[in-house]
Amino acid sequence: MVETFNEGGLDFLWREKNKLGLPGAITRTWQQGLGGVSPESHHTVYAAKIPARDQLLAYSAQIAASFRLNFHASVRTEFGDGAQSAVASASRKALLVWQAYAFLAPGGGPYDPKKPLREQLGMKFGHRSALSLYAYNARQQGRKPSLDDIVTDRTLLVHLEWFHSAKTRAAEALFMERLLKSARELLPK
Amino acid sequence: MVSFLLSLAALLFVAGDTSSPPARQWEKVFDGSAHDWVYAVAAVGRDDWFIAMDGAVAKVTKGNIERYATSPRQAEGLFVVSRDDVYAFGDGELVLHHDGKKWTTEHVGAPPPRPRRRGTGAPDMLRGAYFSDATLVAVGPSLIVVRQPDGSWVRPPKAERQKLWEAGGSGPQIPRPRNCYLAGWHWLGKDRGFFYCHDRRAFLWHAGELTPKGKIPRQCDESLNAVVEEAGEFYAACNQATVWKTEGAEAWKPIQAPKEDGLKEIGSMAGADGCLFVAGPRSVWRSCHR
Repeated sequence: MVETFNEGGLDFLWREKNKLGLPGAITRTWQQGLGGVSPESHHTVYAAKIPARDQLLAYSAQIAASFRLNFHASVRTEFGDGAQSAVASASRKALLVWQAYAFLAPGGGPYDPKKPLREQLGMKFGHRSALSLYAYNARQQGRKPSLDDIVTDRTLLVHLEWFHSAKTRAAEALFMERLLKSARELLPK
Repeated sequence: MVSFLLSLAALLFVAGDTSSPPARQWEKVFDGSAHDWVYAVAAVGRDDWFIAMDGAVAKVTKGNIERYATSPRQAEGLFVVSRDDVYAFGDGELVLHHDGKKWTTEHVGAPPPRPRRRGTGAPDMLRGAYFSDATLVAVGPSLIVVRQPDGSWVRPPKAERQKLWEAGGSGPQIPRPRNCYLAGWHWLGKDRGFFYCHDRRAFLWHAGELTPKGKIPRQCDESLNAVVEEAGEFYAACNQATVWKTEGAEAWKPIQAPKEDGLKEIGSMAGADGCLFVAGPRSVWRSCHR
């Protein structure tokens, strides 16, 4: 068994276990972890103890659930009527970045245009904060908000660790996809 | 018709009882909102209790806070054996002992890495303890150290390590009730523990005997952060800063949690002398029956 917070960084897995869409036959072998308070965030940790073989599954399920539940709710909140069309018209690379961002930073408060962006950047600038920033920018420019803004963004956000890490993960996923495609072309079944 | 109305009235009474727990008096006994974060609370009496906080542990006696610095290590868990036998555990293999008068450092390892990179393991971290027979065992996410009769702490041989670690987080190897897939275990003392299954059935285990404790509430299935036993009842701190209490053999009822804006989680709880102590991220509250 492994503890999913200290040995994987999944601090909410136990609390979210019933929302992941995994069969009970898998999650019933999981147990609540030691818990405690994270010295990083100072919030309670909801770690699980899971069989080592379930680590990849748990990680994938948590990424998918964060995107399906948190991200889509945040888009609706921040983009309003434009949410549905923004998701439908988003490029695959943009959705990959948002998926990673929503997993890394599932929360975040709304962007405050009255304060300099530099002062708002940090651990609390979650994916919802970034959506709120892009919604605000779009309103200022008189256009519809777009999820692809995250791909072309060259503002101060590039200095944010969440943003940097999400883009790196998306790039890795695209690289692996391309590699797999090339390998299949070179060596067909 | 009359029986229908009576049934409806009974249903409404039950629903009301669940949604609005009876008022309870809470007194804020520690307010760290200025600069302190609370990691854990433990109590040995109404006016004698302990906190693990940022860079320190503290003994609070009749409102006087006596701090003992732990920096660069961070105390994250407390364990009460008796009034004059209390332990604090943390990263950097921290083990402190309070003998009723003062703190003593019983064991430390190398200073912990700062900043700690999340998810990369915590081989130096201790969070709590339990008794394996008469031996006190400190447990972390992966580390195990065992107290020796001379007060020193050692890592057990590899063959024992896994067994002790499993028992620390999942309890002893006991026959579980039929169809019970273990969801969580909380040690309550020597040969005494509380556990619950994935179907929410809860049990008290004491010296080999199992006693059913009903079904824990859904909020506790989402997360059961702490369980304490006080004056014959069990109290549970659960998800969304809810607090629950057993009433009778197998019923769980909500009790009013401290009212404070922004209190979303209760991470630690303790009981002593008819008083319940709960800790939020920055504060500790006490509620006493007498």
